[in-house]
Amino acid sequence: MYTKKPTTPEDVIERAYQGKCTKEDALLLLEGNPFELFELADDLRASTVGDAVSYVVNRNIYITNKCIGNCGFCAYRTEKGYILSVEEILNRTGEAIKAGAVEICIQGGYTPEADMEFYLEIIESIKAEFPDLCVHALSPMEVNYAARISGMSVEEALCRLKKSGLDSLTGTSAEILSDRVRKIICPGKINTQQWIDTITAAHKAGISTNATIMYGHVETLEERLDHVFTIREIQKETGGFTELIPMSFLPYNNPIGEKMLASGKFSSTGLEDLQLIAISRVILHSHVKNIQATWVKLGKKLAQVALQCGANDLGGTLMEDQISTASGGSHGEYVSPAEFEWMIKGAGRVPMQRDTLYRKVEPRFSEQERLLPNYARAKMGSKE
Amino acid sequence: MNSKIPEDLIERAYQGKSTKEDALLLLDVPPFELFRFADELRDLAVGDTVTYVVNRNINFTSRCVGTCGFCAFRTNNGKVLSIEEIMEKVREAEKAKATEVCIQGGLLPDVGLDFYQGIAEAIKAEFPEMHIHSFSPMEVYHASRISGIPVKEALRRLKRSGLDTIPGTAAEILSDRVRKIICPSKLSAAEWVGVVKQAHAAGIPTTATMMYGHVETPEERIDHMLIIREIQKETGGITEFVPLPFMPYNNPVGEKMIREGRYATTGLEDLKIYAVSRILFHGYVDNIQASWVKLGKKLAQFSLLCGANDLGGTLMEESISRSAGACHGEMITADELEWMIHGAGRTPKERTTLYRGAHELASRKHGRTAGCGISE
Repeated sequence: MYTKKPTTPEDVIERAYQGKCTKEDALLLLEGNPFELFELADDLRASTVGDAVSYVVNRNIYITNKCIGNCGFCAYRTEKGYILSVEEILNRTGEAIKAGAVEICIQGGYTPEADMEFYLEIIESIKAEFPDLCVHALSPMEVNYAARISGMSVEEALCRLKKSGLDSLTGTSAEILSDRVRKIICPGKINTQQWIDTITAAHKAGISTNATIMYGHVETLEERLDHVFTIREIQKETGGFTELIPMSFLPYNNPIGEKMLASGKFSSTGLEDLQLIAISRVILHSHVKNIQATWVKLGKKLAQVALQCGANDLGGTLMEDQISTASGGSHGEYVSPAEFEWMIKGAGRVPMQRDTLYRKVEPRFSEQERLLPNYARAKMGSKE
Repeated sequence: MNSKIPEDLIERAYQGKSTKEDALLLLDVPPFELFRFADELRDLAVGDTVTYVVNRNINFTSRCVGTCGFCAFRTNNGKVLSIEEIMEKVREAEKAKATEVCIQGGLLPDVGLDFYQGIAEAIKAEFPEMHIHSFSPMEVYHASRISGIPVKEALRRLKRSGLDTIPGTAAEILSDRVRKIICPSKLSAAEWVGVVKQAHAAGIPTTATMMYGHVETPEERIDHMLIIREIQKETGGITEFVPLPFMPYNNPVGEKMIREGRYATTGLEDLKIYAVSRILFHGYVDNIQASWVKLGKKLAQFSLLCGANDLGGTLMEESISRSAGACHGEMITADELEWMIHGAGRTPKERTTLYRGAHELASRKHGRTAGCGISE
């Protein structure tokens, strides 16, 4: 006969509520019944942020696909690519504003043509024309590289970025914060300590960041968990993280992925994705409030299910995501605010439009739908 | 922690006597309780094995005289594949170790039963072992009318020509209210039931499908499943139930929905349908298939914890869902399906269309075509 017997030990649950989940606790929770983990994560989510599920109307802008890096997981980088001018970036920003964007997310490859002067000019120009727009830009990797070629310290670079109007630094280029893993998948990138130092310095300079984890390639389960614990330690010190975004690795069209596929390993499964979202909620409880389920990587349907497993944010409308598309991401490049609200209400929750720093924004999506640029319309749901 | 599912409902489910009211109530209990209960029944019915079939879809034409408002595939003058072109695809499928070909197409104005028999006969002549899972109840109904013979006779001739099983498509939602809106020129609910029952009587098993998430009500979904259950009680000819979420892109029914601010069913709603169907069919239809084409691979994998026990086919080509905005690719390798199944802590097993002989096939070493699940 069907009975539901909880098997998670009381003390594990107790520590989770106190924000003191240990690595052993996390491993035990992952070995147990997944629904028990999801229920625990969902309870913690409810006690932290309630029923609101947020999303941001934003646009990604990739400055350049040129990159001197050699990350084996990247399907986007080229030798001879494009580099956007400040004017082109401003045009795209203007389009995004017309479509209702409150955030612009600007990133690109790292290349000698993109130094601190260039980045500062981009941010200053955007802020001059659109002072209310949240500029969420650059990764710790880009800041490190640009600071070096411009002959300044990372601290000074961050200080000048803050002055230019940067609202938030992206927590990308974290991949897995393990030097063993980084040597395999991104040997030319900053190491774990440099990533931690850059993020910590950004928080200390008054710049918020998010945190990311790109999983499902060569890392072990323990390395994944260690990564989330590293994020928790930084947060204890600085309080500067807005959210964690678990990003499932897409194994298509890149060397690391091809090697995986050749050895009979494929992308992380839906269950694994949901478990990582849930365990992140548990580990980060009382430290990082927001866990994002990203539809670009998970697909809309699984991202919506993740709202029952600890996630409380669906990320951005995006409008363009060439990076995931290059690696075989097939979930489209745009989700309208109305569709986000449909997904959130379908989970029995309350939609909330936010800005980069999780401040509530009044939605105006009927107008946005009308003003949606044609290029975004055409891409809804279908790649053809 | 007390279960929110009433004892008597649980009791009825185990006995295979779930009612419509039970099903509606289950849609309102906390979803994880519903999923865990469905998972329990799945375990009872089929154990830890998760199956899939190595197959190929062949859509022989997009040309169709139908008027279904949910279709993004139909054209007025699309090319019709010749028997030789179809055979070329069957040969490719055979090389890729497919055990099944699933052949369907639009309704052609002047094409009668001979055409369909010709396809089946050509395949069986060259590949007597290939399982022919083809021609929807609508196609059978259409061909019998064009040829001026009763459905029963059409089925008898198709069986003789080598047709093994019929896909239970064209069911959409078995409600004439719904059918008038989304597929007014298709066969009625009763006619669909009639064709399927006569197929079973002729010794042709079928699958059963349900396309949901458009204009139907939750009750109409449940009624649909109960109609299928009644057929099964009578004939036992249904091999599996395949819930198919409607894709609202590039078709009139979907465009109207989106204009009204309604979108594709959410993942949670899909999982609830899988779970409820497992419960309603307990004791009658053992196999609940999660379609990776409609759900995406990740959600399809997760549905294995919510009542599903089959991941469908490797397909090799899929043009119908893709036309309507599905973006999950046209093929998946057997290796990737096994990866997903292992990841759910279950045991993969390749099956035939009739869910037979799977043990023996599973031990076969794969040397299948490579491919990578993306559509471009």
